[in-house]
Amino acid sequence: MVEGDGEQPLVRTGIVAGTFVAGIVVAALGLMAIMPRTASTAPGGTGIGGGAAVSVASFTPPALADIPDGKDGDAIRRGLAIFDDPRNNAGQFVGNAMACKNCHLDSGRKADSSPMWAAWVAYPQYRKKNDAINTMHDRIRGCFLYSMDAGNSPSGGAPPDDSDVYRDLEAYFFWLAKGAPTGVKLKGANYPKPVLPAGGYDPAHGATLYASTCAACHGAEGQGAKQPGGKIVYPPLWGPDSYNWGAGMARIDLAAGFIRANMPQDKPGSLSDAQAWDVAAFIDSHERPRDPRQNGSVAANAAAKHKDEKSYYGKIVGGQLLGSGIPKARR
Amino acid sequence: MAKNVRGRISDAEAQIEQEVEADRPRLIKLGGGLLLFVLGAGAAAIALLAIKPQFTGPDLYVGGPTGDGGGGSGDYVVPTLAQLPKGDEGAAIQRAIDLFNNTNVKAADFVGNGLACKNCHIDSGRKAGAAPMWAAWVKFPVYDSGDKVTTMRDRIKGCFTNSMNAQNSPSGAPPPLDHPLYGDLELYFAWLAKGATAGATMAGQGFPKIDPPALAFDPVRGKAVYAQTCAACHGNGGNGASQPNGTVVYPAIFGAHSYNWDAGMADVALAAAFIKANMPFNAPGTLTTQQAWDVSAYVNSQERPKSPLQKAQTIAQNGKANFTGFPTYYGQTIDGRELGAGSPGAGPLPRSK
Repeated sequence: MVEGDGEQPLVRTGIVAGTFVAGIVVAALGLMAIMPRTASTAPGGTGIGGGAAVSVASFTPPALADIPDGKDGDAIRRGLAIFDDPRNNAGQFVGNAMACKNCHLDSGRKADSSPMWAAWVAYPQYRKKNDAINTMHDRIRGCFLYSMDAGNSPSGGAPPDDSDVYRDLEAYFFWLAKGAPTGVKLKGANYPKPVLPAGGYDPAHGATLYASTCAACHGAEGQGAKQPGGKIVYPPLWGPDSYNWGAGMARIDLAAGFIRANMPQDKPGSLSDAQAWDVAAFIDSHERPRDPRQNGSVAANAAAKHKDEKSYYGKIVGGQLLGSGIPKARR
Repeated sequence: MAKNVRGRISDAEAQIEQEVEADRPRLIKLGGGLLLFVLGAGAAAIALLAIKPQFTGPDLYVGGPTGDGGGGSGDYVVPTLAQLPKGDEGAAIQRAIDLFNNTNVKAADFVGNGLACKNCHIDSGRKAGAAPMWAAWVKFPVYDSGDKVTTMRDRIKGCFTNSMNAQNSPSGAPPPLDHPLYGDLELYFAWLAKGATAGATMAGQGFPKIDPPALAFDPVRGKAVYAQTCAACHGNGGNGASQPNGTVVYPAIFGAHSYNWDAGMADVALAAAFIKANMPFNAPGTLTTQQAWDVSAYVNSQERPKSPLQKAQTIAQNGKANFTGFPTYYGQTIDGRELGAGSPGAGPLPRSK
């Protein structure tokens, strides 16, 4: 096309432009090589160091089949095993029937299910919950204390700070996040925020929805389902074996976000925003293990730790003061 | 290798550094005939700049800036203080920077000598080639010998144990693992690394690999280099210099207020690499490779606080257990004295309140 003397200026311009574009493309490819799984990046981010929530980068975590061999792979596999089955692989510190993967689906890999690859690059961060800078280590400890109700575990507490439970879980999260940009909010991080209907949420309507949509797996009494050998198939959503009142999932807004994006498991996305709020309200208006931060009365703890949150903690439902907790023996 | 037990650069990291070195020629391949191509790439880079101001080039990981203004010669540009976030996170990062730069004062309970993090990690942990924290952050956790996973928290603890000689600190130990300084420091490191790719190997990580010396390293030759080039700041006795309030001006590099025998910097090869790239402070890069090895040998053939790993063992036993596989003077007899016994009076730098 460009041979001969009769080359038109127009053609040359085309070549110029083409070369220029090629440069752009190659530079972009070079960038992609550096950030292998990141489709786009933008400034700021809501993670490390704060900033406006303007950034969204896409990210796809590696497949579990790609966990490497060797000692790093061994640590990653140990972390994965704890994540999927903490009752058996970190049982000393688990006081209920929950597993990490119950809130972080697909072994912490699923977008919009608080995936661990997005969390890894967002920590450390300040959390209002404990008014402190939280590292991933601190955050994991919080999950044990609340979502896993560690106070009722055989050891009576979360893993001690020098436990390899933290190291192995962090090894797994780091591996999931390899290639993700540090401190940048990733698409699919956390749970989405469904719109609260003008009329608010309605647990009575949620009860109907629960019966038709959730109870088949999670049980009419929220008790979940176990195999005869004790293996938990569906997690309990309230009652003694569920997360306690200090867990994020006991907040209606967070549970609604989780449900909206992820439940029912065989048909995620099929509930509307309003339905997700209603069923979350129904679930979280039941009694569950007490908030381990409670020192005095439920009312005092409600004022100290549950102020300004959408929760039934400290409210009277069906004549019962919620937050009183459920008597239970340590595992 | 037992190297990581005492917080030296891991084998994996050392290998990574070599890989980066090997990659370097490939990065400089653009020929003059490709001017338009380069222009195109430049336009893309400018477009990227508009999206992500921290980055200045398509190869983002060729180094970092020096100096508080940022924007140095490197291509990974770490945030400047002007970009410090507001609120609790900004306050935590500021605390961390203060602690990093003035550790023996700000974390006095856990420091048994007169050193600060910034003495090895220059420019508040920002300088490429001086084990910058932005490059370290994206590499952790790392995997050491055996099954051990070392998180950044573990690694910081190791720095206190050895480089800060926590055994002779007021508390007698590194910060407990639930101490909030870990969160502050980790947030600072992550902020320095903002935008950098998790797991990526960034050029500028660790200390640049140093060539082996042409002649075997020699502390006697090193002593002459030291007298001429180093003593003005670090003192003839290696004791450095500090302000009356304890703030370190020039770190002690041997003797009672320096790093202990388990610190990475007591490894002659590691210190040589640090020195070659970073010393003297006002004219880094001016020492020859041979001089860097020799002066490292001189500095590290002086007595310093004892090895915390020694416990009930003899120096010889501890040397055999923990000081093999890298060049060290631990356990060697110099001028009739067996090195490793520990400097008398090891402990915090005396200071007025």
